[in-house]
Formats: sequence, C-alpha cells, structure tokens
Amino acid sequence: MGVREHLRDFLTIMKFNLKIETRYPLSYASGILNMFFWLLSFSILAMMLARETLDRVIIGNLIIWGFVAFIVFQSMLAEVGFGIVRLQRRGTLEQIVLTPVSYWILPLGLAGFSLLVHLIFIFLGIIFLSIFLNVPIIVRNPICGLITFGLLFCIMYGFALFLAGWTLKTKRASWALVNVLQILYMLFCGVFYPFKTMPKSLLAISRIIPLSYAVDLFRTTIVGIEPELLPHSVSLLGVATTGQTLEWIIVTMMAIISILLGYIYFIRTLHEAKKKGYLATY
Amino acid sequence: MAEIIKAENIVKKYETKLPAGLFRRKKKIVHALKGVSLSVNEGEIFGLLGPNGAGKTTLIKILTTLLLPDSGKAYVLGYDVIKQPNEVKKRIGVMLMGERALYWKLTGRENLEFFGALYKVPPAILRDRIEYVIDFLGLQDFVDRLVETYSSGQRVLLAFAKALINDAPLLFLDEPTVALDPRRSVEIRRKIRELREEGKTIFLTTHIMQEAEELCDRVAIIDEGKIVAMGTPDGLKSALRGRSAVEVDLLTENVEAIVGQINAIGGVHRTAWSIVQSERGRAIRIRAICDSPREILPRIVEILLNNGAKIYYIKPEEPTLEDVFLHYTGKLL
Amino acid sequence: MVLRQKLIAVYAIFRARLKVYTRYPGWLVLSFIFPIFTTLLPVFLAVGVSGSLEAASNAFWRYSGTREFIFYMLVGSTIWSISVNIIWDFGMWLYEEMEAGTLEQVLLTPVGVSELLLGAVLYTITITMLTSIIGLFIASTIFGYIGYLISKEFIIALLIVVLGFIPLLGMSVFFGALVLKIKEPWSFFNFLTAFLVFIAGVFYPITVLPPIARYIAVLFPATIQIADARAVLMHIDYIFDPAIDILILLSYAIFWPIFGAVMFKRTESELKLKGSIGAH
Repeated sequence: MGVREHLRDFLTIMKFNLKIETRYPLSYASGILNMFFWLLSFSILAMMLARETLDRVIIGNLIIWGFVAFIVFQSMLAEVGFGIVRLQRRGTLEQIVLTPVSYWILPLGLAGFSLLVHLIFIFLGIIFLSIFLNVPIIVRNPICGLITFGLLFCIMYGFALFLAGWTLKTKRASWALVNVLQILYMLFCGVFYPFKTMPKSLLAISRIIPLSYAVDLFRTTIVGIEPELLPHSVSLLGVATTGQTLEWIIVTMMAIISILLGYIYFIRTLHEAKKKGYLATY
Repeated sequence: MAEIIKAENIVKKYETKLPAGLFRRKKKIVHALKGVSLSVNEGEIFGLLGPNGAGKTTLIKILTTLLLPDSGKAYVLGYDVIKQPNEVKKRIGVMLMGERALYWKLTGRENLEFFGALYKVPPAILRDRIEYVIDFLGLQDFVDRLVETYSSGQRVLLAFAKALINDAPLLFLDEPTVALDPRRSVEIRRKIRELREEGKTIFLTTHIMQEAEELCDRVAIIDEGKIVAMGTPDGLKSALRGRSAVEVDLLTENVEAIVGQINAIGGVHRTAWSIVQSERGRAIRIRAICDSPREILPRIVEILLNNGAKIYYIKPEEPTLEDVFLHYTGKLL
Repeated sequence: MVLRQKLIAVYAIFRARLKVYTRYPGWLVLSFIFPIFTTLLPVFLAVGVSGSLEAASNAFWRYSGTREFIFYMLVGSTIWSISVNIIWDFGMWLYEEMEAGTLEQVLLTPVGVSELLLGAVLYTITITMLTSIIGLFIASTIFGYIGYLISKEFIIALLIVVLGFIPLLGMSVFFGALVLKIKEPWSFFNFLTAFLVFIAGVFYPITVLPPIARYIAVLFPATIQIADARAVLMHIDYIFDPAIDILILLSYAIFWPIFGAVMFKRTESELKLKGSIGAH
C-alpha cells in the first residue's frame, strides 16, 4: 500500500472525527470552560502567594509551557487511548477493522484529529495564563521548541497507543489506572510548577520518570534557560557534555522507543482481540 | 463453478470468567465451533441456518477476518483469512448483526462516505456508488439525517448499504432481516436475489427457516458448533422423503408428558416442542416427523385431549427445513 | 408501591451498583489516594511561587487566618470530591443506562424517581464517604494533621457535611434531568467540577474572590460545607456565622430536592411524549 493511500486513510479518519466532534459543541465548550476555571483557580492561588522578588516571568512561563505539555498528554489519552475504546463500545471498531485500512493508521488519524482539536485549547490556555499570571509569553527558541514539542508528542502518542491496547483488553478496569497516571504525571512531571520547587525526595522520583525530561526539555528550550532536572555539565560514558545535550539524547531515544513499543503492543492487542473475540465487546 | 469460500475443520473456543467470590474468578470455556467444514460456490446464495448460539456469527467473523480460529483453515476468494486478511477485506462486503455498527453522530450518507473511503473506493466512483446504493435500497427519506434519529429498521438498511458500498463480488450478511418488519424483510430478500443476479456470491446466516428455503441455493444447518447437514433445501428435505410433519399449537401444563406419549406412537420418528408467540399469545408448539399423518393425526389428538390440552390448531404438512433440523438435532429452530 | 416494596427496589439498585464496583478494585484504591494527589498539586504550586513552604504558609495566613494551608486544601479537596461525586453519580448512572439500552427497561418497571435516586445515591454516599474519610485520615497521618481528626470537632464537621447531602441529592436529581435532556453528561460534569473548584474555595478562602463571585459561591452547598468544616476543625472564620450558615444550608435542603424532583418529572414526561427517553 502506497504512501498516498495511507495519507488518504489518515485524512479520512481525521476528517470524519472532526465532523463528529463539531456535533458535540456543548462538550467542546465545556472542555474550554473546564480548562479556564482550573487555570483561574491555580492562578488565584499563585497570585495570592507569589513572592515579589522571585523571577515571575520565568516561573510563569514554565507554568504556561508545562500546561501545554499537559494538554498534549491529556489529548492523547482521551482521543487515542480512550478513543479506540469508545469505538469498541460503539461497535464501529469492528467495522473499521473490517476495511483494508492498516491498523497503525487508525490511532495516527485519531492523534492527528486530537492535536488539531486541542490546538484551540493550547492557544487559549497560553492566553489565559499569560493574562491571569500577568507575565509576557517567552519564545526564545521557536524552531528547537517545535522540535521538542514534536518529540513530546511522539512520547505521549506511544504511551497512548499502549493505553489503547491496555484498555481494549481490560475495559473499565483500566480507567482507575489512567486517572492515577494522570495525577502522577501532573505531580511528578512538574506540569504546573518548576521542578526546583519540589522536595528533594519527590524530585528524585521525577528524575526516574523519563517523561519529566521531555517536559523539562520542552519548556526550558522554549524559554531559553538551562534544564532543571540535570546539572549544566555531565559526563556520559566518560565524555563530558552538557545537561541539555543529555536531555536531548534521552528524549529523542524515548520518542523512538515509545512509538515502537506502543505500536507493537497495540497491534498485538488487536491481534489478540481477534483471537479471543473481544473486538466488539466492552 | 469456482469455490469462493472454503472452510476446513474450523475450531473456536471462547474463554470467559465467572465471578466466584468477591475478587475471584472461575474460568469457563465455551466451544463455539467444533470442526466446521464447508464450501461455497461462485454466484450462489449460501445460507447458514441455525438457532441462536449455534456458532453462525462466530463462523462469519472468522471468514471475514474479524476473529482468528483456534485451528483449521479458511480461504475466501482463494486467500487465506489468517495469513492474507487484507486481500480478503478488499474483496468482501460485510453486514454484521446489530445496530452498533454505525457512527450515530454522522448522517447515513456520511457513514457511507467514510466507509467507502476506507474501502479505497475512488472519490468519483464513490459518489456514484453511494447514489446507486441509496436508490437500490430506498434510503432517500432518511439518508441525510443523523443515524441517532433512525429507527432500528433504518439502521439495519444502512448497515446493508454499507456492505454494498465497495461493490465487492462476495457479500457476508449476518441475519440481514432481523429487526425488520415483514414488508421490509420481503423487500430485502428481493434485493438479495437481485444481487445474486448481478453475479455476486452471498453468504448469509439466519435462524429463520422460511428465509433459508426461499433464498438459498444451498444451506448448511449448524447446531452447537457443528454442521449437521448441508445441501440444497430440496436435497435436505429429501432425507425425509415419504415422511410428513404434524404441527400443533396448544396450551398445556404437561408438555413433556405429551411429547413423550407422541414419540411413543409407532410411525413417529422425532418430536420436539418450543414456546412460540402467535396472534393468540404465548403457546406451546409441538412438531412431529411421522410416516403417515392420516393415521397418526387422530392418535395425537387423542393424546392431547386425554392430557387436558387446549388445542389452537393442528395440521399436517410437507417437511420443511425445520423438520430437517429436527431430524438431525431433535430440537426445533 | 408500599414502603416495603420501595425499600426492596432501592436495595436492589444499591446492590447492583455495589456488585459492579467490587469488580474494579482499582477504583477503590484510587478513591483513597485521589484527595492526596489533588491537594499536592496546588501545594507544590504554592511552594513554587512563594519560594518555600514557610513563605507559602505565612502568605496563606494573611488571607485565611491559618498557616496550615496543606490541611486547609486537603479538607477542601475531600469535601469537593464528595460533593461532585454525589451530584454527578445519579446523572452518570442514568447516562450509562441509556448507552447500554437498559434505561427504558428500568423505567418500564413500577420503580419511581425516588427509588431510582435513593438506590443509586445510597451506593455513592456509602462508598464516597467511606473512601474519602479513610483517604483524609491517611493523608492527615502522612502530613501530620491527624490531631485535627481525632477530636469532637471532627464529628461536628462531619455532621455539617452530611447535612449538605440533602441539597446535593436534589442537585443530583436536577443533573439527572439535564442528562436525560441534553444527553451529554460529560459536558455538564466537566464544567461543574472545575467551576466548583474555583467558586467554592477548594484551595483558597472565597474572600479573595470579587464580591459578586462570593455571592454566587454561597449559592452552592459545597461552599458552605467546605468553609464551615474548616471553621470547626481549624477554628477560623465561617462564611457569615455558624447559625446563618446552617440556616442557609437548611433552606437549600428544602429547595433543591423539590426543585430537582419537579425538573426531573417534567423532563421525563416531556421525553416520554417525544419518545426519546432511551436515546443517547
């Protein structure tokens, strides 16, 4: 099957999911309102307690770009991770599997659709936070920032694929796990605060979670500061390098591994669903 | 005639877990197919007839690559369903049972556009094809409404339309007339015959005996995961040559006793009963295969009266596929 | 239906939901740890913008009258979680029944709205209260606030929270009516959870909000439950004073159940007329 055919399938899935999304305007509006009120609540708290002498602009921007990373994480979970399960519940997953579409195109189409739909959330979130926190938005390295955003997307996408496979098998039992993972991500990947504000014991946990480096690299690259999780100079296999370089290496490897493992697991689970007959059961 | 479908010794088991305490589960195995073999020729309407739970949907899902068998082989249009699923999918149209096969927040037309695109029907051809299918099945009145507003019958029709969208030479239809009223069912059966005249091969499953008799060139009867008989409807009925069936609808509390007594009559070969819903309400239906209804009918009436049964009607008739099923399985469809 | 039959129906619904719940032990575990994690987020944010735990405590004291801002937020997020669960549980159960196609089957039985609601919510109150209180005890032990909970003030705070259940049940029925009508419960739930976090002062006192927002805040039973539970436990200010706060809560306890029941009945009749009660 050629690239053109795959592209056509990808665009078909994106297009029709967008059509369906536009028929749930309440849902979309409530999503924006949900985001608005959470950001407002946290901003009120931040403004109450912020110390004047602290570098508000940098901290504010770390929060803003951390939030963007959170939106990508959430959108992948919701539209890819749970998107596949929603298709299963509705009975349309079987119908799609009946067509000659390659299995890897379906989640990719959902991811593309998800990113498009959540761009509005990202844009509005940046504006809201900038206003609430009263800080200008900093974009010092737009090209590198875009690349790190791409890597972050790949990692989240790979994770969402794994989740899609997992929830296909376990159905509702996995929802609790997903909620826990969301909370753990928010807590330990420093989404709404700089890493350096965390107690050392919890920061140690953040350093074990590879996703933290993706968030750290993304927002520190855009803002144009040194990464928070690694020191300025590090030694990698005896070779002296910067913490930033090492983070680039870690995050790039993670992106590749995440997508590979995610797809392998997802395709295997689809295969198992066909073997055990639960493609349409929920 | 070329063999379009060939299934060899298909076995399929399902594992389920039953609760056995607060957090414990007990494993249970359901044998859905126990070594099914069949073949379908090009250009014929082939029916898989059997009661609910017989394994019809399991078999159709295996043949359409949705389910993997535990053992056995199956070939559709010469392609192995396990090793070459994509080649199979490109060349078949499938209508599965149930209403959950469509996007409710899309219109009927949009559903057809979506699936047509996924079946790689070129856009210009797809537009014409959609119009043809809408016209063929008479969907004009509702095809541009959201599916969530459809009645059950309309959803079934749209699912049928979806199966036709890629103009595949082979169609799989799983209980195509379930949830349809009698008028629509007759219409659908006419359409199926028209599709066969266009040169398509059709594999359909049904639990409605009249549908199988009316539509199918050949029928396989399946019960409890096994094919119990296969052939043309007339050929299957010829196994009961010289025999007739007696059917009686009644009300009674002693159905088991009555059936036992009828079975004991000389010349009665098989008897079974089921509960049916008729214009009179709920009733017991007893059907017996016998040699000479002229002699046996009065004796059956005597047994019924002696047991205090209220008889709604009793009639002798020529054997049907239902009697073939009864002959092989001892049950009614 | 006589009372005994009603109670049998209520118990049947309660038991069915409990059975489903026990088949997902992960949910149980999540219920214990959820309040802890939802509190830690704003705590880390507070430390992040103020520079240290001590600076955050001192800054917080200026607005709330207490330096124990972690416990302050813990109480807020626990009660918020209970309130939100009670409000949305009936509506979500209705929606799941609609999705599964079983709502029409349930409504075909002689069961009425009150039995449906009581059965569904009895389960929610039982599970939510149990898990939230256990979660609160675990969190308080971890953070060193257990002394607040082993006191008679804790019983009084609990009673205030329980009093707030009555208007919440009424809101739950109203939400159920909305679900039957708009068939997108997630939209309403998404909005409500976030709005309550903002307006009910889950992480800060409502006195930091503009005046108009404070008056809107008092319209929600959760605001009073949270503020008064904190006032009792931590000896800080009530919204107005104890008697007025309780009076407001009592008036909601009369208004919301009546309003919720009326709206539900109206919506049910309207949908039965349109024939779309089971559609989703």
